[in-house]
Amino acid sequence: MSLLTSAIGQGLLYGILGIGLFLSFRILRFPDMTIEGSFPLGAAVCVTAIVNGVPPIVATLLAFVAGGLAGLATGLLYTKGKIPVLLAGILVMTAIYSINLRVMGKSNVSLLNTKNLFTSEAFNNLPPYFNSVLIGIVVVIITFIILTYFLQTDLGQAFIATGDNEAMAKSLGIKTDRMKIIGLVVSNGFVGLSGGLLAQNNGYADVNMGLGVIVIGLAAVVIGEVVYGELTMSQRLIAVIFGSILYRIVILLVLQLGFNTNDLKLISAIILALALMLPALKEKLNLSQVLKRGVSTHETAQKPTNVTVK
Amino acid sequence: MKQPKNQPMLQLNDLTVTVNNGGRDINILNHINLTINQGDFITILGTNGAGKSTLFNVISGHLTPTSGQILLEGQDITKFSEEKRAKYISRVFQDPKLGTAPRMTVGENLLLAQKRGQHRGLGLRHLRQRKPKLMSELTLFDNGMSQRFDTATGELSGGQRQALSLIMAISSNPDLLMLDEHTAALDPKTSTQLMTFTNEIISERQLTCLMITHHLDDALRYGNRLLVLNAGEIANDYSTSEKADLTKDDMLKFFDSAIA
Repeated sequence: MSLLTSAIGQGLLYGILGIGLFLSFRILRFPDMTIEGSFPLGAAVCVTAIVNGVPPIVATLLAFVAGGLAGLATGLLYTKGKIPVLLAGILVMTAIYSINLRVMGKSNVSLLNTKNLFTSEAFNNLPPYFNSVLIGIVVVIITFIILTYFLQTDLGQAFIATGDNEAMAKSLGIKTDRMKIIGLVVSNGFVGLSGGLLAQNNGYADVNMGLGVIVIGLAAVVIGEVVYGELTMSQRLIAVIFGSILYRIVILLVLQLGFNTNDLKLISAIILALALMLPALKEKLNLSQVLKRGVSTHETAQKPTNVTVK
Repeated sequence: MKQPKNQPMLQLNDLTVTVNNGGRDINILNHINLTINQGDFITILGTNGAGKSTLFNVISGHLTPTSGQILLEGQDITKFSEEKRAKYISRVFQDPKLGTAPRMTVGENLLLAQKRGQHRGLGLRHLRQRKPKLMSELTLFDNGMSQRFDTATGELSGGQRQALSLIMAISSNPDLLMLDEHTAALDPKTSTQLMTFTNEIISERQLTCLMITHHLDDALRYGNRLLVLNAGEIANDYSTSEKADLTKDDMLKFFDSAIA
């Protein structure tokens, strides 16, 4: 039972990461590698702040800010520096590795003997792991409300339009570069927040904890889509959270089957690959198509056809 | 715009676009001079590679001219970004996919167009409250779209998408409307319907419009001026009366000689 509770708690906290990735990967359609840097950056900043006596709630917010700054760096490299977004993300992610070592002073900082969000007295009478579930639910609800509101504003709509059809957005006077930067900042902000929360939950921050988080985040997004199919924008945010929890439960089951934790990354990648291949497999097997736009690759370049020079 | 009124709507002064092709400089637009007056509806003909699309890309700001000047009601907009010009200039593309955001609904797309060139902030979009106004725009051209207000535009037919693109382009009464073969990708019937609607709305609202077309009939029938582009230059600029005397054969002859 407590294993399941733990999986749900972790699923909720990683769900924030999934939501961040949803903004960049699904709405803007960016393969944003920055998150492998902004996630541990959020963790490093949060843990270092707590160890230095900053109140945990402030430290958690700092994790969001730090992640957002990483997104800003990628956004500027991409829009102003004209570096392809995949490469810009990899550059920032690589740079952050050194920054994390600077922030923490070493490769691993423990939160042992410090108070953090998850060790508050309020949780003392609860069964194990309920603290992560409760905090996870609260943060998910706040995130959901903020993003649902944002996506319904004129700015949010312009942001969605930028990812959907950039040529059209520009022709309506939307400053698409600004939208992309905002998207990357907010997206990586949530990823940093997720990193900060998970570091507190785990009790430490490690410089290598970003490795493979893009797979975890994508798994949340894709599994949510595979399970729920066609949804409205705000429902899709919820689907990501459920996808994240499901993914944790699958991992839990796999470990219960006796697989080694060392194989976890391999297993994660296989699960994600299967989820991503599902549409192709369904088509091959001629089954009715449950998943439509979500998982299929979209038409890529959407530019005026007859542009000759720039 | 705050400029004195009786300025021409758009003026192109010695506009040139040069590209380097295999070590040779080629002028895709070669010292173009053009004055477009308020209320002009100009049809544009030209062979492939004549520079029609380049002309549109330069006017819309998608492309920066190598030299020359673009004046909109007397104001120099040559250095304005595409996003900034969008406040005054709207455009409908040939490809139905380019004009609308496929995953957003008809209503959401229309709402985006209401704020053309305006600040987009953190105020709620109020789609429901604005629905009556949006619906009244949709029903301007009735091809069943008004029943599909909440449908993603990706699920509309090409004709419906082009009609929506046009409605979006005119909804804020732009200073200049640019139509880039906007009926070319449609079947003949839909194409004719959309062209008729286009003509009606342009004369009704007295819009200033540039329209690229490959239909000689359309080019001759609509508008008060006809431009013929060839090899980056304006080969002919027919006025209303000259245009009335032109026949399809004249045009065909011209294109035969242009190609040869």
